[in-house]
Amino acid sequence: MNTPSLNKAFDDLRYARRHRVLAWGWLGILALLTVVLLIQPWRGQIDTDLLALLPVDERNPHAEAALKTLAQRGERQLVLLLAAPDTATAQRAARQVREILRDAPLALQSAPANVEKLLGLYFPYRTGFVTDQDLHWLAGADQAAQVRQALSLAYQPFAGGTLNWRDDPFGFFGNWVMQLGSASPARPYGDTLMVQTADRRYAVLLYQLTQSAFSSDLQTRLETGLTNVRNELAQHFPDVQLLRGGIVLHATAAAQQARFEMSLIGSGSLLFCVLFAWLIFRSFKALRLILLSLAAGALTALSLTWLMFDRLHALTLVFGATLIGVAVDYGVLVLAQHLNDTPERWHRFRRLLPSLALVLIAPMLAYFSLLLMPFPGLRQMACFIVTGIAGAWLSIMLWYPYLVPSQMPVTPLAGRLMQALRHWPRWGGTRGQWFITVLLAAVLGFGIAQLKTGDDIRSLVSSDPDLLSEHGEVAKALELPSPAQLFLIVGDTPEEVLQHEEALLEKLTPLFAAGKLTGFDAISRWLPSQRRQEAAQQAQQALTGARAALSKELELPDDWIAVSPVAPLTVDEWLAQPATEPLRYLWQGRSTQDGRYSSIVLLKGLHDADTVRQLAAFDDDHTRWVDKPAEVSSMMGRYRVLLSSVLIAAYVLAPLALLAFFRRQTWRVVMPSLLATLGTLAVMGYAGIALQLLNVLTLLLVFGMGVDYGLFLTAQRGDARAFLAICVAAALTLLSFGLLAVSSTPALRTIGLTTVLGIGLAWLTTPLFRLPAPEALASSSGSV
Amino acid sequence: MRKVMKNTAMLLLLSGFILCGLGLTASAQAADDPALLRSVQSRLATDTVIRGDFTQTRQLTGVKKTLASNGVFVVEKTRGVLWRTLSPFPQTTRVTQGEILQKDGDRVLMTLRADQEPAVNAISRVLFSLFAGDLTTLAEYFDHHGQLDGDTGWQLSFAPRDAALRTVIASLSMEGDRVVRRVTLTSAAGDVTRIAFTNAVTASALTADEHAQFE
Repeated sequence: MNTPSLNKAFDDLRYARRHRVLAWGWLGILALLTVVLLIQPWRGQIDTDLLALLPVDERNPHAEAALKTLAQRGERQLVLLLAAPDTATAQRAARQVREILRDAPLALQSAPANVEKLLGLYFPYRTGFVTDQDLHWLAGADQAAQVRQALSLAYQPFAGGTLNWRDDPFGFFGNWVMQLGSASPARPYGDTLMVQTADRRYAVLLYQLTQSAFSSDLQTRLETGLTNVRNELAQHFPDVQLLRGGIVLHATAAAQQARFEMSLIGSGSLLFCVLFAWLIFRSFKALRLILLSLAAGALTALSLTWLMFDRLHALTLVFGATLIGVAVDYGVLVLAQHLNDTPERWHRFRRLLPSLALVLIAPMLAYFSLLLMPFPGLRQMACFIVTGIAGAWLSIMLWYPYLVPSQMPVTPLAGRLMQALRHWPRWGGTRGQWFITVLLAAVLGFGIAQLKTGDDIRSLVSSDPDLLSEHGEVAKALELPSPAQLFLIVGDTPEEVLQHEEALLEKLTPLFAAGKLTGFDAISRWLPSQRRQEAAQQAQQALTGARAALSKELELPDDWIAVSPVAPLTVDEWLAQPATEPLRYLWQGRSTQDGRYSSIVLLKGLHDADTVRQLAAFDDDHTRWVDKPAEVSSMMGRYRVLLSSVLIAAYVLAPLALLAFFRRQTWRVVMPSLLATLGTLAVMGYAGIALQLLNVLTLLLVFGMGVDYGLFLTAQRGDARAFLAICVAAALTLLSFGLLAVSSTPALRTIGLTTVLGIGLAWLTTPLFRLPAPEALASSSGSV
Repeated sequence: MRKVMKNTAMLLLLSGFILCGLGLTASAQAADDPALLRSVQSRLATDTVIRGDFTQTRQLTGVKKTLASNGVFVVEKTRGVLWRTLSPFPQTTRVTQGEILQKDGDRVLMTLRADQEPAVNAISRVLFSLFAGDLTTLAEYFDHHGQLDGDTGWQLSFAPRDAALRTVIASLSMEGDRVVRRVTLTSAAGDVTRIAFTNAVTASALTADEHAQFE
């Protein structure tokens, strides 16, 4: 043994000692993370709302606050409709259902607004509450007509109920109260709220969830309750149909779907992974090692994501399941290096170290850029993947030297794959290759030129079609307003807000008349502005003559004649009444940011895009048109552009970072993923698949993995074992991501498809740019 | 939705309850005293059309004068009800499927349409189901008791079951034989309305003039 090799052996030994400390340390950290995972209570919060992935729009805080209030209110609501051929059956069924759901995590709500109680609130102010129609009539009626109107009501055979004729002789207040009726088609019948249409009777059960809609405990209990309801109805009320509406139902369905897909994709990936690894290595030890790195990766990802976020998004979990395919890559890379190789294990490991360190650069660069984006959901996914990859990588780096077998025989499949590299074409810059390149560039260019972009959020949201149609019928029967397209009214004082509301509703009159809109929900329906109340009082001064005549004819006391003015009912007084509580969501109150007041006007029966355009035209400083789907879609577009520049930046920065190591060969590292990306875009262009945010996100993933392939093959100088490792890694990724295509979530299908295309292409193109084989190296001038 | 008990709508709902009594026919349903209701029904005429005169007095809270009026009425079981006040001034109320209309001579004072106010649909439906002899509906809203008088007479008193309904109506009572003879309604606010029906006759079809008024 000569001195240099002795030095090297000592060197290796010193390295091994340091390594031992780190390996034990890592084991300790993993044990700690396991404890964290175990003691951290399962919060059961699985987010399924795709919008949770998106950042809030900072540009319109009033609108965001309003939408948030609406969402929070909507999230906790559950509506059950019992459709029956007659009222009595519907009522009996409703009583039975209420009984069954007594123990469910639900609180039964009474009618949304208690007009009976509101009447008491309005009564002292009643002279200010007159409908437009009556004001119009009043302006044109002479004293005889006024007297006639009052007498007509006095003689009306069955007139009078809650109100005395004396208190509302012309019926103005009664008519005003009457117009409140158009706020909802539901009416109380006996103990049940009912909606009657021409051919159906619906008993309405309004429930409020007692816990979050995303709590799995609530979802389970609710599911049980509703199953019992369905059984009961099937058994005793065969002609009653149950219709359900509520975000919680979609959340439950989506969470179940996510759990199912997570286990399907997870176990599928695992199965393929084990099978494939077995075929390549034919060694239990190798399998155990791969599974070990996988388990370490999953543990790190889950526990750290858990610690950092208080709810997990379903997409994170499903997406995370594909981590299996990525995390095993490094293990495979290391194991493949041991095939048919004999050098001492520490030495071999140190030789691999630079490549193994470098393969982390690209994915980390890609995912860290995601972490910096203002997307809560994407940050979570990036966190999950970054920690998972780091965990798997650390386990491989620190433990494999102790665990890998010192030598592994080449299996037939591995041998064949390694052979394949020799026959794979290699870019040599020949005339023929340039010709093909030009041709290919034309094909790619043409495809990319046809690429469309599409940012419509609705194309990504999937929902149970049964639930959707049920919800549609519920919304139609109850005339529910659109929760995402609305007007936000802003003013310096509450009075200003009400006046702007009234002005808007007046502008909308033609749309209501034309049937483009069927109704609205607004605070000014329940509380006219002070200006309006004063005008109504003023107009009624014209009735003094008629009142004097009536007093004479019907023998009323003289003090009845004059109507003394009252101070108008104000927003503050109105809000302070318990009876107005169910309507308060319409009033947004004072913003803490700019001190201005705001309210929302919700619209019913809004369906066609043309009307939406007309409504958008009403947008001004005080009356903001808020169209959440359109806003989200435009935001998706903005972030697609932003993420595209991140991707371009990654392709510029990664080679710069790698330049120090690969020098003039850097292009070999980057070329495969660049071609794969362009190829994917071209295929999408030809296939007519629109480019959107999630595709760009996936291309970032392709960048991370594709650069790894190029890097490993180049760093290992076109070594067949490296190629084998790439084959295995790519195959595993393809299999695990390919499984995303079975997802019912369009968003995940998109990710799956793009990955399969991108990784497939990266895998096929990587060997094209390998360095000449070592034996040919001597003759070529390629330097590394 | 709210427990809107709109005066006008509710008063017309009541008109439905009362007028239908004139045409109560078919089989009795489950009720407080099904035997009584069955008996009352068996005493009521089964004809499609009932017409006659009415006299009405109203005593309004805080109004000294008793308001007296009279007129004629027609009930057609499939089409609806016409209520025509002749004195002290002419006025017509018509309740048909999906619409309640009030006219002062030829001038329309008020129209309530089902497509604008769902309660109207409910009202006319209640009315029609009652004309068709669906007593279940009445029994759903009111507790009732009463007695049979002699060989042909009867009396029934109704009290609303529902608290919401009680905020409008305090009580309702009626008496009659082949047809309803007398109705007394006390509103929640304390107004008392008494109606007496006279010269009631039954027929199998509307006259041409009545027919025109239903159009």
